[in-house]
Amino acid sequence: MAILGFLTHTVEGKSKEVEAALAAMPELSTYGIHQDCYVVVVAEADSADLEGLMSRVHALDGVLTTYVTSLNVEDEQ
Amino acid sequence: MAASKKIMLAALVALVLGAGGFFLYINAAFPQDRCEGAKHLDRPEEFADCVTCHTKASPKVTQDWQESKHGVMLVKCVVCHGEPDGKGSVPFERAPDPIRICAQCHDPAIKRMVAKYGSNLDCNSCHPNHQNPMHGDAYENKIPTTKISLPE
Amino acid sequence: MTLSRRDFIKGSAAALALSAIGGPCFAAAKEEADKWVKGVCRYCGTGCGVLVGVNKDGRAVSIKGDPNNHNQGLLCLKGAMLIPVIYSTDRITEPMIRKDGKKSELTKVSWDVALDFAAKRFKDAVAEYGPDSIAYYGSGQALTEESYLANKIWKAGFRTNNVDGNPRLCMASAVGGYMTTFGKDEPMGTYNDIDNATCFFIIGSNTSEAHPVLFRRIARRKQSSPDVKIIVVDPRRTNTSRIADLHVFFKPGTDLALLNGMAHIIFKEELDDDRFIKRYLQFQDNEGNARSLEEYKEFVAQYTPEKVHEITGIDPDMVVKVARMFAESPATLSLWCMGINQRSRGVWANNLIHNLHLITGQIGRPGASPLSLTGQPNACGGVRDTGSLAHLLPAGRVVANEKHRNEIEDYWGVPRGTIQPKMGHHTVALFENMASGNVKAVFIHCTNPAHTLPHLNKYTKGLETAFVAQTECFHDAETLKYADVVFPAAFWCETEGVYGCTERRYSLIEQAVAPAGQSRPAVEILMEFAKRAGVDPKLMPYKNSADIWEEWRKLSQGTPYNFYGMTRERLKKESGIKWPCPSEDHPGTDLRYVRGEDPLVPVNHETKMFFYGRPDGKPIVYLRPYQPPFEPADDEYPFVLTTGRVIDHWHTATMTGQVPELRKAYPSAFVEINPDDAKKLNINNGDPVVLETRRDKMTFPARVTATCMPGLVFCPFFDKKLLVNRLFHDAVDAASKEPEYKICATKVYKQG
Repeated sequence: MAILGFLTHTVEGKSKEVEAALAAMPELSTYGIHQDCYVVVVAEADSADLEGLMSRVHALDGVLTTYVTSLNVEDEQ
Repeated sequence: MAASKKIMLAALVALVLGAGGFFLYINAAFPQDRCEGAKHLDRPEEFADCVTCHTKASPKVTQDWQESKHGVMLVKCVVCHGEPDGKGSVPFERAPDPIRICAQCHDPAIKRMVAKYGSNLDCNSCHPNHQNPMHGDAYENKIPTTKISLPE
Repeated sequence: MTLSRRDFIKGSAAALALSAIGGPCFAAAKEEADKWVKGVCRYCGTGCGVLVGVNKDGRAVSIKGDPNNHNQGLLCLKGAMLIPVIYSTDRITEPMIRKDGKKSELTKVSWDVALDFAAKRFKDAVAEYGPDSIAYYGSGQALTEESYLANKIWKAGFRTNNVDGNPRLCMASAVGGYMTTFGKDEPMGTYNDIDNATCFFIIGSNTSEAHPVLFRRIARRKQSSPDVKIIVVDPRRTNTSRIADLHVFFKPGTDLALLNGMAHIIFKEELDDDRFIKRYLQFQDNEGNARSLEEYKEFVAQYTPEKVHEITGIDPDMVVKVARMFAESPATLSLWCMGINQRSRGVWANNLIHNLHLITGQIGRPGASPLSLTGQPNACGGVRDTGSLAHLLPAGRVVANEKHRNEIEDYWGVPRGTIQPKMGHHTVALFENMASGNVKAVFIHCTNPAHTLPHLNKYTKGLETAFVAQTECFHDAETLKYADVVFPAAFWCETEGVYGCTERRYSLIEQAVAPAGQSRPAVEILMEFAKRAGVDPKLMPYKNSADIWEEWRKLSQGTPYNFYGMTRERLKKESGIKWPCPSEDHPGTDLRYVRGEDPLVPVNHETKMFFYGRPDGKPIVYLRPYQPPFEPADDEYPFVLTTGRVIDHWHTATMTGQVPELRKAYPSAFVEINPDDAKKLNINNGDPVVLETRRDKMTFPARVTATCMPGLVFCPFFDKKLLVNRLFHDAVDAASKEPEYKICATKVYKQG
């Protein structure tokens, strides 16, 4: 399983909604909203699935874009 | 488990230090309002052609702009946000300054709003700059079927 | 505390993400404006009012729209970025001359040296070859006072009618259209009609990119009342069509057939206004013979929808639909620009649009009008109204008419017979005569002909041959390559003067900042130059441009151009006034030729409308047959090439090119090609594509989009590295002498 840390940049006023939607996705855990527009997120998924996962994040209403800050694949078999 | 705790503690300290360093690096490398275009575009002479990248980088916001009044009127990204290297004539900002940017065209409206609601100079909070599609269906292509009369 | 390795990695991932957010941002310190100076935008013919913010040190720092002018505070992207143009490092700040002919370098000299150098050459030419060996080539961007002064200096001072300018390249056909149909130039409607129209007929205009603030007003009208219909007739589906109900593609250059076909449907379906026709109209054929209404009906009856389809490619049902929309709407406003004017049958196309408005009575009511859009900020006020063209004299007079000449001679205080009765050279003929050596010296003011003339390879020879004195603000101008003397002119808002826009509105641009370097107002340059070249100083008794305005204002009194009520003080107070405006308490006129609105129509006139431009008061409906463009596509050159504008650049980009954002939005020209054509020719986006015409060939990067219809390619003309005008022919309209920039035949292939 790969672990991916990223920021989700949201439309102003939609960050709570986005955070809830992100938290509802089983692969993701959220770590709060910062500066009203960034949601800190960590994903845990097969690296093969990451791309699909990220495009699902992008498709959420209120998401402007994401900034990936770290990726760990050491544990992958 | 003491040893393991110690390792964990050391790891946490390292993490804090690492995160701090990374924080400084990131702040220096990317200013708060950033566009990766400034770093990655191979053709800097095309800095002002934001839409080409942002159709991919932030498709939703591009779509919103495209459908907004500003999009229909071709008030392009750089007019309010400046160009990503910050070397243009408009300062590069994620949230443009209402006094300097919005007032260029909307000064009368700003004066009206200030008179009504006081000086909360954050236009975007009530009038999202991008998500203000032309109201109703005036902008859809539809063929009118009825004849209308001249309003008095 | 237990922390698994996975948790640790996840924790650090979160921390890294968090740390990447960074701290709060601080906006760059901004410069506060100390006072706001009223003016008009420097760019297009929309003529938006602006306020220039000047700080305590006398430096312009910001700009905003004038809430009291017609634009109601709005600006387009070019207008919003005007300030950096003033402070561009590319500004010419010192006079320059080429001492030893065209091959030598431009060197900086003093004003005296430069003025004497130019004046001597003009003086010598007049002495040796007569006054017709010199010329003035002006601009629809020059201030009204400058054009009026230059016209007077050349026509009464030097005694030559070789006074022309770039409005010949953009507005001449519209002038021809209004003159032939209504007897007097300039539209009868205003921008206020946009707020009242229920149908917009936009033909040959990319309003969205060429006149963005007007486009916004049209869009707002559509938005406020969705039943308002918008028809866009254009071989390119531009951004303008985004708000259209109907977009009509047609084979480039065949719109005359469509316009006649619409007239046919209007009569066939009884959508005409019989009362209006019987009371006001007369009919005439191409030879000037009077015709009857019945003959006109018969004439347009040849243009059945099927015939129109054959010529234009427009679906027959569509022709009917467009005609119905046009005629059934309570108030139809036609808007057109270069797509109609820059044509070998430009005047005819203009006449045919007027025809439609006349036979349906769509005229003289709020929202019903044929309104021709102008490309330049002062082509209407500065050049058309002051008569600064080879065949005109101020306020609608013509050089060919002795009475008109005498009126002007008396007013200017020169002996009768001073003004020559012979027309001067129109633009294309002027540059031809420069190449052949008949015109020895030319004074070019505020324009860039080495970039904008058609068939450039042919006409730049004129600039290579003749002595060229030029006023210019930017080193970037292509014409500088040919200049023998360059006078640095004060730029927009560095001097004071009047601009007159599309809707007969005159607004004053007040001086906001000091001229850059040694540059001087063009009015001063012209007077200094003329005095040294031997023109009687008594002709120019002016201290400043306000004095010239005073003279011009009084000259307009009693003419159909009457704006006697627009004193300088009033223009300073108000944000633009629309003529006719005969007295200081008159508010200006919205509906020309209408009783109760137009002060020139007697209040007790017997009919509601009075077309006083024509001696008999009756506008003419012309029987103009369809004629193909000068160079349609054929087997050898199978594509049609057309040129035009992009929103980010204005004209030759000498100004917009100074603004980094605008320059980088479109750093270079391109060729727009339809995806179907691109597929056939194996062209992908960005590929180098060769356009080869009978004149020249050039390579452009491809932009594959569905904007152009199949068979058509489009290039913008702003790029001086890719001068698309080199590909064009020099065919001109027979009446207006305006070149056909919109249509030429070309080969298209991928460079390989």
